[in-house]
Amino acid sequence: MKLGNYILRRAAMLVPVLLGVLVLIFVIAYVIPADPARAWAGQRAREEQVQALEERYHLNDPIHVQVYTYLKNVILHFDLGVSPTTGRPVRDDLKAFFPATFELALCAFVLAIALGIPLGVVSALRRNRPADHFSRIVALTGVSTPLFWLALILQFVFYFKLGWLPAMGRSTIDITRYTGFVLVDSVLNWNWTAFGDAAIHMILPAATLAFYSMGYLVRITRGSMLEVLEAEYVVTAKAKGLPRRVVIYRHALKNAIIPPLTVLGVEFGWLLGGTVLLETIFAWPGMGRYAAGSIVMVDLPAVVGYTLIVALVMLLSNLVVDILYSVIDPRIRVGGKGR
Amino acid sequence: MKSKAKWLVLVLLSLVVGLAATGFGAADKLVYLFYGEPGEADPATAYDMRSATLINNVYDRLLTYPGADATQFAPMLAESWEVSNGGLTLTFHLRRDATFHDGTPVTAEAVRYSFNRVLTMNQPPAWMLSQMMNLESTVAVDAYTVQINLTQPYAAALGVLTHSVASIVNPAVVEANGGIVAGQENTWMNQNEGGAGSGPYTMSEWIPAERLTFERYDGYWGKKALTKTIECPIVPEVGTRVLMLLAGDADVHDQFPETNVADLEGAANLSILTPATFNIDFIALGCRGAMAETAVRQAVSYAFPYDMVLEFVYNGLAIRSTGPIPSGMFGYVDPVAERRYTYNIIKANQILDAAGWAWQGAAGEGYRVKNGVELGMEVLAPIGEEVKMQEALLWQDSLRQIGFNLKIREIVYAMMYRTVRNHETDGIMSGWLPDYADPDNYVDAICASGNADAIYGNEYNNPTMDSLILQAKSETDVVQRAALYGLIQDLSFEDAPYVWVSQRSNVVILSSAVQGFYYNPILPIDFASLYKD
Amino acid sequence: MEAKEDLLVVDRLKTQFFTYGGVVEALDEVSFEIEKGEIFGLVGESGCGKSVTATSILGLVSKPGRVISGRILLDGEDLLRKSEREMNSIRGSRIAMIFQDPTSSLNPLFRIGYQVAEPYIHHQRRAKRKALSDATGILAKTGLPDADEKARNYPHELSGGMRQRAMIAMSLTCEPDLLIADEPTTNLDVTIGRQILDLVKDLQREFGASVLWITHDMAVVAQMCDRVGVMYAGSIVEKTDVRTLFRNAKHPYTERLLRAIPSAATSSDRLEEIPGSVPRLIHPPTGCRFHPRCDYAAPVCSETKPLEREVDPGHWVACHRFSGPKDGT
Ligand SMILES: Nc1ncnc2c1ncn2[C@@H]1O[C@H](COP(=O)(O)OP(=O)(O)O)[C@@H](O)[C@H]1O
Ligand code: SF4
Ligand SMILES: [Mg+2]
Repeated sequence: MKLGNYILRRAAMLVPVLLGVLVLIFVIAYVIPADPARAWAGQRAREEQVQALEERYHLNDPIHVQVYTYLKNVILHFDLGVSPTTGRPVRDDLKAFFPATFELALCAFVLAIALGIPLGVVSALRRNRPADHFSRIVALTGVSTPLFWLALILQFVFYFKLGWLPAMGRSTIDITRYTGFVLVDSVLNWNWTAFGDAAIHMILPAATLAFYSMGYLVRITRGSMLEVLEAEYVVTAKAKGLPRRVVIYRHALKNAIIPPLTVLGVEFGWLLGGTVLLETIFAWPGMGRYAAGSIVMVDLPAVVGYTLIVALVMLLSNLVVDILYSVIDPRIRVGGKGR
Repeated sequence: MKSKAKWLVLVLLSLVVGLAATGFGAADKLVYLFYGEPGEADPATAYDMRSATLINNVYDRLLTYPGADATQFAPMLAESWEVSNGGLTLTFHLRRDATFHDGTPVTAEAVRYSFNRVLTMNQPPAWMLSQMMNLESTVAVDAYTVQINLTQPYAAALGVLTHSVASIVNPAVVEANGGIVAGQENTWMNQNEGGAGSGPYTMSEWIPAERLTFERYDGYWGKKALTKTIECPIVPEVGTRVLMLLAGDADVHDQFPETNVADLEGAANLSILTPATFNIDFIALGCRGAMAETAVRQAVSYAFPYDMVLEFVYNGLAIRSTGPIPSGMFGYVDPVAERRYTYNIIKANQILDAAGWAWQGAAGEGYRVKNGVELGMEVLAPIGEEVKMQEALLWQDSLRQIGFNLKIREIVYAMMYRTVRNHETDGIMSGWLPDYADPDNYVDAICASGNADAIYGNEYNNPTMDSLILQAKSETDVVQRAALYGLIQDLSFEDAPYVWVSQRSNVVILSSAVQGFYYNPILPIDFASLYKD
Repeated sequence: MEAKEDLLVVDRLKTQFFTYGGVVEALDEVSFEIEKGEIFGLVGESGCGKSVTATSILGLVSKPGRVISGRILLDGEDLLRKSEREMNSIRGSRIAMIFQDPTSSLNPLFRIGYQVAEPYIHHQRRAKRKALSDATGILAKTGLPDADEKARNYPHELSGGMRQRAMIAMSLTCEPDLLIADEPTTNLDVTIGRQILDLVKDLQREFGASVLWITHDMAVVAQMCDRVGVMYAGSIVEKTDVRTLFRNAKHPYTERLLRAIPSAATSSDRLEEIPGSVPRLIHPPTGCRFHPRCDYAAPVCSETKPLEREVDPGHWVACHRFSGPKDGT
């Protein structure tokens, strides 16, 4: 029906957007005054080795030929090229690193939502009372504490001082990695020890990462809930003599949830990107570290591959949010004019 | 409700079990920290220290150095060797008991295959072999005798053959996994070992960005490794590594950053070693504009606060360097006091006065000029290298006292190379890590006219220097050769194409239980000698 | 005069808002009563306290506000002494309210039918399905065309008039004793407004409810109401039956209001023509709150608050001009 059409249309729109992103990266890579092949080969390599690399990676081709070659490989062979810095196919690298980042971001995302939205609601309902002050302090701390600082503090306390949680890594138990998502794979292996191991490795990084988003969600939810509680339809609901819980959790909350919901897409993107720092601190084998390293080395195949996958995830998560939004709010006509 | 509770108990239980399982501490396991991911596991492609650590423990070479001594060679796959024909012919007699990890013997043919593979693939480190041999050079005389006919005599040839690029690989494994493609790397070999090596360890696991694990090869021809498993988590954040060392979750960490040593001092469970490396730091001076004048280069060399930098920037974890060859290496001479630079502002000012650089205003204010040109230069400081930035700032400060305007530009590595090669700057805060322990590896790269410009963009060109370097390359008489390097070093003082700053220490952190560690400045860490009480 | 039973008695009701800027004395001893089956009009300029009167009766005065004193008797029982729970069972069932703006008063995320059905579900414990079909029934009663289909629509899919009909349907679900209509036609165009007026009047007759009709429009008062209270700055200044009001208004403010009615054709225009502005209620004028704008103001007017007096039977006025000989001044 209509929703299906809409999703198809939005999915079709991904293609030109991704193409645009692709061309953009190539143009940027083309104009920056860097010397990629020299960076890859190292200071000491002789000119002939550098030229061999330029040859191999088509660096001297005109830009449209580079884009064409790249696209041809992607479309015909699903080949994203070989990263000159890791020496591995970019496809393999992304397959190895993307699940780690995605799993972390998703856990943090769920945590941020599960804590942030209820706290925001409670805060609004108990306005100017201790519960409100508490969650406002939590929110403020969340949005104003530097991530790395929080990470180091948590690591120091829970790993070093208390010894409760591991400081680094994703797991210590080897299991067959079917999907690359360790939590999922450990279940698929029916290995609960491995699941527990992966879960405790997840706690510190996910909690740290979730903290900022949670603070942000508390603020947005609180503000939106306060606004909604004053709305006339809430007065109407009260005037109808509806029980308080119906007024708040049905009439008010459903409306109040819309502003936080609309930022979730962007927020998830932020979480995906925000992992770079945490991946470094917690030695998390994720995509952010890979990307950061690749950018420094002007590792074009890796940077292009990374950007494409992030763009794709961002577009998809925004699509999901849009669909959710339209499911909650009947005023957003999914089949109607594009927003 | 009830099933929910059950579920919760299950999760909690598995958490507890998981927690228990994370504890390290089996005695035949040792944890070595990687601060970053190795580039590649393929000897033909890898060109960084972390990769060398991996490769050297998994692959063997024809020869190596004995323990901590980097001035003489020791047998490895070759039991013995001869140099003949005026240094042009090297003959190696292979041991007969060496096997690759799949059990097949290491033969002369494997050696020939390995060297020609490097030359054919022509990856970044290939120049070390291609500078002295080609595809015809290596000949398998019989199953266990290899002859290498060099294209030109090279006195450092044996040193080259200790480098990871000269590791011997198992032809059968390579051929089964992509073979050799001219001009291209082998992505399988980049990531796997799979029986391709013959070293004391096999690489049993490399989970990118997570960890590497090495297992003892029980069929090793030589002394068997003392620890069964070496586990190497990759932990980029130094703060995390510090906590792991303090908590006893990591046993060995070398190349630990100087700036964080204070975090570990006084920890009862750790010991800290700081042996000198062969790594030298210097400032490349582009020999153009004002810097084309030898007098100006000498003056800025006198205006560098050496002692202050060593003490406060390097935290005492470096020694003074006086030329292109590091102390402790063959060919190094300790120069007499007047043939080395010291911090001497008065002398620097005298040199500039004599060279006709006059103060713009009153003496000691503003900058000097000559023919309308202001005295000064720009220097690049690579972003992320705190030490180099601090060095540059201190130098800038003292250069003001001689009327020299130093501008510092921070730059990322990837952009530095083009800027340098196009002469879009005047100098770099730079340095040299050796490939092999021979002075030629230094002077040829740093002081020979072609390389000095290609690598450091400094346009230094002294024909006397070039001919001395060429002569020393092929000089077979050791005494003669050492004398030549003495002359080269003295000339590098006279011409001052670089400000010679420091020779760094390697900060090694060992947990007190670790035994058997030794440090060779040219080799990566030797896992096979390490064990825990 | 025929003695009728009072459904609602509001007695010296005082409501104030405790804002950061100071105490807003929004209602200053407001008293009136509504008989059973009567439509009582409350008229006055914007900001004079009409809506606060309504929300005070429902016990829904918004946040910094509070009822300070007075009594609100519904069938003799003081609503101000009821618990929140008891009030909840009164709201929507014995007292219902129609708001000024049907657009913002309907929840945009719920279907019309569900919103109308809610009182059935919560007050009368009807099953959801039954409640929904009953809601369709009452929607049809308000003259909503295709009530069946409209019940399944969301508010934004309906026109303003239809929405207000839905609001009316919602308020009538539990056949309330008292219907409070707070300017229900202000946001509608004139024709639709007329239809709504007729509709409320018809339904009021059918259900026999009493109505508190709030408006700023004298013409609407004339058309709808039995009796009227004229409000000015938080007080009722004149209170009488509608005929007397138009023929024999006594209070200077009422006079002004009546003079300000431009003509029948544009009768729904706002009463902006009265010179001077409604006073701020944080520091209201002393004495008679109208004195700064009053043509008849005497010295006493700024000193003493005039008491309500019954100048004729059933005709109450609060003005010193009508305080009579007893006061002696
Ligand atoms: N929430 C509030 N906070 C402060 N003052 C309020 C609030 N609500 C109403 N008031 C004040 O009460 C007075 C009466 O308002 P209201 O009853 O809405 O007037 P109207 O007669 O137009 O319905 C106004 O002067 C207004 O300033
Ligand atoms: S009391 Fe005085 S000021 Fe108030 S309305 Fe009457 S005459 Fe006017
Ligand atoms: Mg109002």
